[in-house]
Amino acid sequence: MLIFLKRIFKLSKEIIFKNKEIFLANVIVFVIFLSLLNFLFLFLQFKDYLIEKIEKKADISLYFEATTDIDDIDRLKKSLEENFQIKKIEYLPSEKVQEELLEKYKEKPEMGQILEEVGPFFSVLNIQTKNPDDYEKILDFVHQEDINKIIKDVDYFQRKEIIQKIFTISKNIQWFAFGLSIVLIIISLLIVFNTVKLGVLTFKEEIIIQRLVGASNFFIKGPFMFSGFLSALFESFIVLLLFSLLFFIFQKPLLNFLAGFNVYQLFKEKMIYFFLFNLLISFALHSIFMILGIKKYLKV
Amino acid sequence: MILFKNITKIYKKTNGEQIFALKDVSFEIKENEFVILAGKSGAGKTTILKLIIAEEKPSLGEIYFENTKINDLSPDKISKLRQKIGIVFQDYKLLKTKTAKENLSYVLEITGEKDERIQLKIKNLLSFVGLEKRENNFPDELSAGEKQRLAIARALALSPKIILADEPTANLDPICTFEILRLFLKLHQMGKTILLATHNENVIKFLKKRIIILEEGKIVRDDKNGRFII
Repeated sequence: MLIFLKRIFKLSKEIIFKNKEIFLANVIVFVIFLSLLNFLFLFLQFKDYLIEKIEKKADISLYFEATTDIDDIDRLKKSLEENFQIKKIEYLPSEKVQEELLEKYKEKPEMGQILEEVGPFFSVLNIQTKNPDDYEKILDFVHQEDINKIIKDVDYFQRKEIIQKIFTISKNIQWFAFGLSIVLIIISLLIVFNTVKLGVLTFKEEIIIQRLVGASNFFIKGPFMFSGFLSALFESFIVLLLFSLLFFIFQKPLLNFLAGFNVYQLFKEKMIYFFLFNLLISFALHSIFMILGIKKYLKV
Repeated sequence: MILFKNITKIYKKTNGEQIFALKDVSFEIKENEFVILAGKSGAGKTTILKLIIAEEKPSLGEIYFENTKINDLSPDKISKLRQKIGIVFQDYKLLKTKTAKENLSYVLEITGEKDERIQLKIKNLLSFVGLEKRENNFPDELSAGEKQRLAIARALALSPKIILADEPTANLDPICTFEILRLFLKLHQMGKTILLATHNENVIKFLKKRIIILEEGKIVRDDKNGRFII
């Protein structure tokens, strides 16, 4: 077995080095394909980041009367959690609200002074729901007589339209990203398949001769599979190098351009996964497409 | 060694039309025989050779190689069968990206032979066909006669008992033709069974061996001495 593996390794080297142009063409197409996949993955991460950031802007704030008992607020909080799909609910007592506002404007002392004059501040319950339709229902819920009496103000109506638009946009982005990914992956797969097939075609005569002189299918397929693995290794390494360089060089402009999304950091943290993912995808595609390409000629 | 029992081979065209490449063909080739398969182009000579190496399957009838039925073998068994048969093709079918030496070593590597033995065998084979000085040349750097001699060396690499040759002299000039035929006669003297397909009258006259004549897929004559003209 060892002698066969040694020979398969030797033959796979021949496939690569005696057909450098084909090998290079394959590498280029695969590097483009893997880069596209990686970009898509990062784009999806960016999309999630963006949607989360946008959705964070959508919330409803309930301001309480200064006389409201903390136990009543707690009860309301619990019943909201029980009745709706709450993503985040946070209670801020009036002191905390004031503190946060002062912190926010600490570099503008004149604003701080105005804020102190404007007071007192009201305790607030900030609510984010998983489902945007729940905001309306929460409004109806808090307008029940026994709850309404503890509420001073509701900060929603003025932002209602914006919130609904945000959710529509984020849903559309999700669908667009999904559709775009599928289309791009299908197109790229077709290109990759045809490149591998063309590569195999140049070996057509050789494969038929090998079969006619008594080589087993394993002995014929083996070197192709192994050369596929070596190509995959090489391609994954190139993609890793390209992305690392790209993100490192353009780290700052990208951070600004992507609204604070640190793509370099993400890539650095998951570098090994990116490499293994690329290696696995590339090797699997090389193997599957090569086997599909060779299959016809092995029937001899 | 080879037994054809009522073999019929039908090819189907895309329009459904049937072409009879062989019609009820039966013959036997015994060990150490030299048999010439003769006939015009399209008579069925190549089909017979393809059936022996299981490149094609018969539509009807049975084929035996060393008493084993080879009608419907698995891909692995086909490889094993071909390792027992040396094949020489009209168009040489050499691996173009490999040197003369590598063309021979490839066949030997298939069987898992050790590297030292492979080197020794290659040296002997190249010397047998007179190509010692061409071991590092690629097929495209060899003359037609040299290519065919290399193809014969490759056919001998796995020490087969039988050698099939499909029009081995068709692309050669008269001098090369007789050099190649002498090589086949030498192999026959060494104990190999030879089945040679040709349509060349001079080859048949020169060899003077058992001749099977095919016409439109049928055996029209199976003669022990090759002294007649097609």
